[in-house]
This record gives sequence, C-alpha cells and structure tokens, in this order.
Amino acid sequence: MSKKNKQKFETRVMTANMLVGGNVVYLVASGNWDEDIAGARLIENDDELRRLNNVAQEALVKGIIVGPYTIPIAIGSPGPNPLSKREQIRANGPTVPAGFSK
Amino acid sequence: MYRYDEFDHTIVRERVDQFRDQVARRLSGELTEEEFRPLRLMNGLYLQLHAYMLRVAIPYGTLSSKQMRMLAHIARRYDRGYGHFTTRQNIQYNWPNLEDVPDLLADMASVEMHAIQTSGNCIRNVTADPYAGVATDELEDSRIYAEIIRQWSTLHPEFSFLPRKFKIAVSGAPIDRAAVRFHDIGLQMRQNTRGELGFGVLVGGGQGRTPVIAQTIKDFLPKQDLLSYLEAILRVYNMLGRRDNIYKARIKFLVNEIGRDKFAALVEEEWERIRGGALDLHRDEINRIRAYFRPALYELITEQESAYDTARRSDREFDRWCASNILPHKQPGYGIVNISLKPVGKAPGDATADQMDVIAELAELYSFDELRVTHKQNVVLGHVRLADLHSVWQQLDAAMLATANIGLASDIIACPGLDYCNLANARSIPVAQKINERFSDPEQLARIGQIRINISGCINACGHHHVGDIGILGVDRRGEEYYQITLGGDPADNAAIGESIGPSFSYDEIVDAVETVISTFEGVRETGKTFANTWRRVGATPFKENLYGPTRK
Ligand code: SF4
Repeated sequence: MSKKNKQKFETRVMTANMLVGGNVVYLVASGNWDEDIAGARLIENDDELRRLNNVAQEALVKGIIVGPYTIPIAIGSPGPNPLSKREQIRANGPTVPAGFSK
Repeated sequence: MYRYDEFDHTIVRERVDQFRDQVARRLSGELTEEEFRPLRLMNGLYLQLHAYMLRVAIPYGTLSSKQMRMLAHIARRYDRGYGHFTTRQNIQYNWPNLEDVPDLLADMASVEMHAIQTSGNCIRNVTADPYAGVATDELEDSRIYAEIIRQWSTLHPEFSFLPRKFKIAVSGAPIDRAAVRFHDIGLQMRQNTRGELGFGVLVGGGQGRTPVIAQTIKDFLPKQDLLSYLEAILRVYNMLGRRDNIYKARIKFLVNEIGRDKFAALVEEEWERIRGGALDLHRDEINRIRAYFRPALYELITEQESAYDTARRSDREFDRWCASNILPHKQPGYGIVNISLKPVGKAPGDATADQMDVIAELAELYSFDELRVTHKQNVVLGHVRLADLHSVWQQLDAAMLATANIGLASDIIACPGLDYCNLANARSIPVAQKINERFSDPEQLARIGQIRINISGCINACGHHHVGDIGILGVDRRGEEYYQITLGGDPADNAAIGESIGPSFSYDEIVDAVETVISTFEGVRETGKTFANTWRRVGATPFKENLYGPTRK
C-alpha cells in the first residue's frame, strides 16, 4: 500500500480461507472465492485495493471466509504467481505426498 | 491403562456438546471469528496454511488398540486417510472440516479421548518416558504420576489462563528419556537415603526462541507432596509471570529474572501454606491409579528363545531391525519394539489409517493391547515376546513399518514446517526426506551410529532443533527458505543447547551441508564414539572449517 504515487504499485491478489472447509481461496473477477489462483482478480492500484478490501470484509461478516489479506504476485504465463514461498505453498498445497500413501 | 471414571466421561461429553453449539452459532453468524477463535482453540482446533488442524491429546503418549483404531477411523472418515504424530506425543489431523469437528470429537469421546488443553495458556498434555513400565532401569512407572497430574490439571480453574502455555514431563528412571530439563517443570524420580521414592523437581526449561535448561529447585520431593508442590509452583508463576510480552511470558523468564533461589523460596513459602491439605496424595490414591498401570501378566520364560535366535541368524534384515529397533525389556524373554515412522520418502511421524489399524492389531495380539507414541514421532509396542518378534516384524514390513533406523541418522524429528504450519519460515518435511534418502544405506547408518537430527521450520522449535546433535532451523531470507545449523544439542542427562555453527544454507544446499557435518564427524571420531562424544571432544572447529573453509570463524 504505497502512499507515494511515484512508487510503483505492487500487483496483488486477495486471499483467505473458507470458513467451513478452511481451504485456501482467492477472490476472482466474478466476486466469488475460488481455490484456483489462476482466476484471481489482480489488484493494480489503491482504488482497486480499497474496493476488494470491502468485498472481503463483507464476505467475512457473512461468514463465507476468514482471515482475508492480500499477497504480492508476479504475472506468469498460466496466471498469477505468488512471490513468497509461503504463498506458493498455500496456492499449490503441501510439496510432499500426504501421509504414507503415494 | 487408565480408564475414565464417571467424572471424566461427563466433562468430555459436556465439552463436545458445548462445542457443537458453538460451531452451530459460528456457522449461523451468531458468533464472529474473533469470538469463535478462542473457543475453537480451547478445543484444539487451529486454522493452518491450507485447512483447519485438530490436535488430539494422547495422555503421556499411551493408547489402547481400540483408541488407535479410532484414530484410524477418524483419519478415514473426517480427514485424508492419515494423521501426524507430534513431538509432544499427540496426534494432529491436517484436513478436517469445521462442520464435522463436533462429530469427530464425539467419536473420540467414545474411546475416552479429546482435544481439551491441546492449545491455549493452560497446562498441556503431560509427557512421560515412552518406555515407562518396561525399561530395565526404571524406579517406577512414570505414567502413574503423569496420570495423577493430568487429573489435577484438567480444567483446573485457577490455571486455565496462565501467562503462557505450560508443559510438564515426568521420568521414572535415572536415565532421562522424557527431556525433563527442557520442560516448564521436569520431574525426575529418585530415591532418598532411606530408600523412599520421590522426585527431583526442575523448573524453567524449554526450547522455543529462547532455549533454557531447567534448574533444580528441589532435590527430593516426597511423592505425597507432588500435587501441593506443583500447585505452589503454578501459583507463583501465575502471580508473577509476565503477561505484557508473549515472548517473555514462559516460566523460564521468571526464574531467570528473579533467580532460581528466590523462585524456589517463593514456591517453598506458598507450599508451606498449602501442604498437608486436600492436595496431599495418600497412598490409597496412588495405589488406585497404580492399579491401572499394573504390569502385564507376563509369561515366565526360562528357556532360551531359540526360534528368535535362529531367525536373527538366518534373516539378515530381521537381525538388523532387531539391532536398531528392539530394546531390552525388564521381563526376561520380552522386548520393547520401536516402530519407525520414518521410512524413506515419507513425512516423519505420519501414519496412514491402514497403518494405524495394523499397529492396533499387533498391539492387541502381541503386546497386551497397549502402545505408546514417542516424542521422536515413532510408536512403541511395549511388551512383545522375543519368540513373536519375527512374525511381528514380517507384519510390520508388509505395512511399510519395519524401517530399521531407531536413533540413527534417518530417524529424524521434523515439525510440519512450511508445508502445513502457519507460523513456518521454511519447509521441514522435504528436508527430512532428502536427508533420509541420503542416509538410507543400512551399512552406512550403522557405521554412523546414534545421532539425533532435528528440524524445526521456525524458531518455535517444535522440531526440537536445539537439542539435536545436528539441529536444523528454518529461517526466512526475503521470502526464501534458508536453514541454520546448530551442533551439539542434547535433550537428556548431559543437557546442552546446540551451538550455531555459522551462516545459513539455502534449501538446495542444506542436505550437502548435513552430509559434510557427518563426514567431518566420521573423519575425526575415535573408534566406537558417538557424534555427541566426538563433539564434546573436538568442538566446533573442524565442522566450521569443512563447512565454510579454513579462514571463516
Ligand atoms: S517449529 Fe514453527 S514451523 Fe514448525 S510446527 Fe512449530 S511453529 Fe510450525
């Protein structure tokens, strides 16, 4: 959230966990929450950030999601790619096989 | 094993009903997330990276076969078919739905299990020696006292909102296998000059961001005074422990700030006021609890176990497994079986539902229906006849549970790390897997010998990196995973906190770095010496030189 206009706005997307399933979701263009980051709506300026914050707040109050926040991303060929390792793992799931099963 | 009485049943059932109501109110919107969060945490339900995580208490790590089968059922029905055994002798489920948790807890309650006090600033699951009741060196079964403490501390009204979480460990043997020096309170059973049993009491130990070795505040506490003395310690802490700074709130900071002697004097003063009262442990009460942990009805075995000896001689793999995974049992003709949850390529401490069922079955058939979860994230069958071992081993092998590596380089302790945990800086599980793969040759493992490699994904130290011979700590460097190596930690009688060895390594470098540490050790070791012996003799220099080059300090 840069105050200075000179500073370049870091492209972000809005993420949260669903209240019931706890699963990771992203705010997509339709205003819905989806598990696939590929369709996440890009936030490229402060107005958009404010607007999507309001959308997220509403979803929070309605009990659809919990813990919304935005994450910086890079635009890749299939879609947005989170910059941090943590968010990459949130987007794609654990990097290790689940339990002992293959 | 301890069985619930009416009181236990009632509180657990009432808690499930209460939580069912709270979840319904959350889902209907009556409760906000801020209101609901502390309520779900009181029932062991966290929100992690990808999903909710439920932590279920396994008191002092002991389970019946029936309970283990229930853990398997829950993994299948409410989760993704597996569970994760933790360094605190608990189990965690990584994928439950919020809606399902009340039913899940009701299923748990049907086998006398729950998730109460697995989170929050209260007295957490009391841990004990995983070989309690069967070790050859034991004075008394530590679970008797762990159970007495569990009953006293469960929903203790005065200690439900302590400055911070509180962990107690009990050891009933002179050799410490419960890491009593790294708990808020450690109790080490000992004998006084009159031959009576009591406890040495240690306080203020812990790992986390500020690791501290506990200090003794009482050399010998008679057994009957156990609860009044614990109550006195908790009271002093509850009054004086810091509540303004979460990073300085554990009892270790209080003990450090006012000094051990002052702390001990305050405890003594409080204890004088309350001892001899309602908290006195009478012999009858101790005996009542002891009866639940009565030794199994062992068969008297006099002749040599020739079948066992023959199998070891003829089956090389079985022999190797016996050498690393079987410990001597106090009863002749029996052995303590350690089941490794650390095969190549899997997450340390994970078990599938099918594996849990196999373990439950084996415990029922061969080990008096009882098993234990260890803080090293393995499972123990406490009492198996040596004559049955070959058969048990074959059945374990068929379920991928016969890895022969207990205490060796691939028996790695690892926390969930960045693959699951919200607080993590870096992944632990794949690092453990890569090290495990690198050191999978049995000859090499045997040559390296006993070594503890412990990995934590952040400074909270759930993976006990401070007390590893080789500790690995995940750190964050501008969003990238890096790993700090510490050497020379020891959880037990020679308690030591690992020493940081130099700059951290990237995800791609860390396994090579660990290999360098181990080859350095092999280069300087004297015949038959362990890593710990060698570290104490040679210190950091050779390791630093090989990791960073001769000029680096
Ligand atoms: S050590 Fe850190 S990353 Fe690992 S489980 Fe604990 S809090 Fe999570």
